[in-house]
Amino acid sequence: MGFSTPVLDSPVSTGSKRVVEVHTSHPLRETLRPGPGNRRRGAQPRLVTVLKRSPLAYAAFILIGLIILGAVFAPLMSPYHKDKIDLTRQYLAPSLDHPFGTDDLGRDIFVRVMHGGRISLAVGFLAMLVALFIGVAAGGIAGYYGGWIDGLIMRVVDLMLALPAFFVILFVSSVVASTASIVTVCLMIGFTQWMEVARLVRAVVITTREHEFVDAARSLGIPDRRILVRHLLPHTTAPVLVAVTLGLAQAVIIESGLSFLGFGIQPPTPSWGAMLQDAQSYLSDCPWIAIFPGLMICLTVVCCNVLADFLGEAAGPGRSSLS
Amino acid sequence: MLGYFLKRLAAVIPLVLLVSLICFALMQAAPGGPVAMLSDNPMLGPDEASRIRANFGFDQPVAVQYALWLKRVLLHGDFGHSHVTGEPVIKMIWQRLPATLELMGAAFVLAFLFGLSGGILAALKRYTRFDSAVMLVTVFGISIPVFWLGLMSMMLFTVQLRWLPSTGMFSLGIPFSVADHLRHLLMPALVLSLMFIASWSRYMRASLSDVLALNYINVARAKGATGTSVVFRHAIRNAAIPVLTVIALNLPALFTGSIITETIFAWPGMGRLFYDGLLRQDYSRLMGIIFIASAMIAVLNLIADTVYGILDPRIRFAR
Repeated sequence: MGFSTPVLDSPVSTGSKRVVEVHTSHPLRETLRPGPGNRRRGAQPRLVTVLKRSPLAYAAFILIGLIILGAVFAPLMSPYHKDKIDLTRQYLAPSLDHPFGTDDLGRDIFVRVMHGGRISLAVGFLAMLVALFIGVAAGGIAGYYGGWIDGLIMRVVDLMLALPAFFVILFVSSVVASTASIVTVCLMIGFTQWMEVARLVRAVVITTREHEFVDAARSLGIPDRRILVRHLLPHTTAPVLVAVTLGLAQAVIIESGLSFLGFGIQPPTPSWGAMLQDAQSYLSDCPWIAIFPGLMICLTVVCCNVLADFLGEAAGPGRSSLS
Repeated sequence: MLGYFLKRLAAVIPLVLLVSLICFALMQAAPGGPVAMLSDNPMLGPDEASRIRANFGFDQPVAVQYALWLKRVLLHGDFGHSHVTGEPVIKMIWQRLPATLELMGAAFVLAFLFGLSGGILAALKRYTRFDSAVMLVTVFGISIPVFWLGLMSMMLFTVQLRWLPSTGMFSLGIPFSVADHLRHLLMPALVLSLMFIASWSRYMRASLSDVLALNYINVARAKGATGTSVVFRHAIRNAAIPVLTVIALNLPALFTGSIITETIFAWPGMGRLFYDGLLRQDYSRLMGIIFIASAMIAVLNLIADTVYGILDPRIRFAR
């Protein structure tokens, strides 16, 4: 976790045995590294300017922006209504009228895919917020206090990692299936995805709490909670940002997997996974019903992964989150 | 080494017990099940219902019930009977386990061969077109959800090209042949393995290029070792350590992935069994599978730790 220590004079990560190759002066590291004394806000390069230097990451950034915009403005994107059944227009292949074709009930797939983005992305973001909150709290407390508190929290982390998460989520959703809502899906995903964040935060807090500025804060009589929140947790921004971006992709995949198996978002609400479930029966004659929702899942996840990789490389040398 | 192994084992056993406790709690918390069935049945008087409860031990405190359940599970592998088919759960699992292990095994072999060789080649040809191509393909490989990949490859290989069968383990109506079975296995195994091919090749590339930049490699080169021998005798050994750990840590994900793959391709394994149990709310079956799955994850993690300890002696003494 060397990259997160507030080393200002040396760009080389201290705790890592790896050899630094190319990323020694990446400007985003200045943006992401919130070390004390490094808060020259005016001098920080803007995220977009930094992103432009990596074409792949920039493309991913634009694309995910477009997907989010499409989801937000879904009702304005098409003259059709997402749930409007029109039996005179079943199984139409993609055309100018229906860019993504129509499904078995004559609903326009384009507008459903855009609306599906609302559900899938909302679930992804909310689930990550849940995971982020639990992970940062658990990791921060474990790292700061150490001792038996640390032991207890890390045993819980081990336990959660030992559970076959997807099975448990499936089981719980089959039990609550009749009352399942977006909130329950988000909570379930969040509760099974926070461990990575907790480990990262704990590791950073453990290395950072030994620094003099923490001693200084303590000797000034600043309470523990404030030291943890104001002085230690900001150091975890960079690795946590990477973990959250990857986690968002993971949450989108889990949600669509659940909905695909019929235990997530219930029809007629369009979500990408639920649309794929319907599509299974029409694979041979109407492939477009299956192609477009899945393509959106893929693009979203690819964009998140590329961005996470970029952020990881930018935040710390010798660390690649994708690999 | 034995001490290290025993230490890891001692950490794993309470974990499995805790998981079993969670399984039991989930099963108790779930609505329906045998107890509700008794009180809902109008044909049973209250006397008979309580007698049946006493026979099955449902009148005992929950802690006692858990202890009895755990004893049956650990001593006899008895997860109770499915209340859909009436068969013992353990028997159902035993019937389906080989199919799942076969699918996982085939996917593992594919991922191991293609993933590692792809990663090694990419690391040796770093920053060339080949490397960029591999990296681009792998970004998509780790991002495509397995169920969509399954649908798409069915569409391509079964519907369009008619090369491969899309469901089941055998063709019906013809005598068993190994070739036919392999044809059925190929598509699910490839679909399941793609994510791991992608992820392992990225790890292999990152790890090997890190090692190749180290000084001892330069020393070996300076002493006249040839290119291949440097890579295969000196570099791979050290580069393999983190990769093998990742592979071992990924085995549970391989198991989860096989659940979805099985449901798409109608592969009659444990995933299919689990999915079926979900649809029919067969709790004892679901709990049995979750317990077996977490025990498998625990064992796989133990193997990962042990392999790590064998490969890198520093780990053994670190804690």
